[in-house]
Amino acid sequence: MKKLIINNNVRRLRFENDEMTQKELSVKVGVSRQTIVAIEKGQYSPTLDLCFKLALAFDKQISEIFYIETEGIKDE
Amino acid sequence: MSYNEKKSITNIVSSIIITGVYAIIIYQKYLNGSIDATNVFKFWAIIILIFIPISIIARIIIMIIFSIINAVVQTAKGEDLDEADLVDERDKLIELKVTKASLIVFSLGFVLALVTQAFNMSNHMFFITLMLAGVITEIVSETMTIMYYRKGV
Repeated sequence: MKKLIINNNVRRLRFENDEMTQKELSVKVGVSRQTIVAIEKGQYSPTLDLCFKLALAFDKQISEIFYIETEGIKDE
Repeated sequence: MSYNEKKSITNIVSSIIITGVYAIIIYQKYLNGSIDATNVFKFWAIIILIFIPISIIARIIIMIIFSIINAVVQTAKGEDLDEADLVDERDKLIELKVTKASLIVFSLGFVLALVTQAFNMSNHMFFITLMLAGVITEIVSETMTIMYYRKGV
């Protein structure tokens, strides 16, 4: 089974949305600022629920926020 | 350092201090003969039953002091106050993983305590092993919490 490395555009999307701060985004989606930091660093893969909340916050599709690193598929 | 990491470090330190101080006090009383140790099970039952409320009260006091100091330091630095009351999905996932590891560590401690009895060691050793397993479980779980918050889940 291959392990997927999931990356995201949260940091870029924040700046494209009037330079939204991590704190502002965390309040919008109902998590702590530390969780937003962890998502941006790729240290935490959010649940589908949080993915949809982020999509709503940025007014984007989930696929525009999260993507699979094509060279990052590793054997488990 | 995040609020949860600071809280975990405080928990490790407080756990070691509370258990250590209590163990020293009880050992001194045991040496002085002020505690009746003829019935080993009654002796340990009393020690543990007294330790539980003392530990809870001491932890509450330490956490209140920690929260006040943390808030004062953050205010002085001009930082936003930590979201201490907000528990999100990442916190719950970390808690779940740490709880699982804690159960494994304490179970190993319990098995070790049974081994002491299988090898005819004193009954005191059974309870000492259990108490040590409790402290080690606390240290392992808080260390894992810090690790998960730093390196990711």
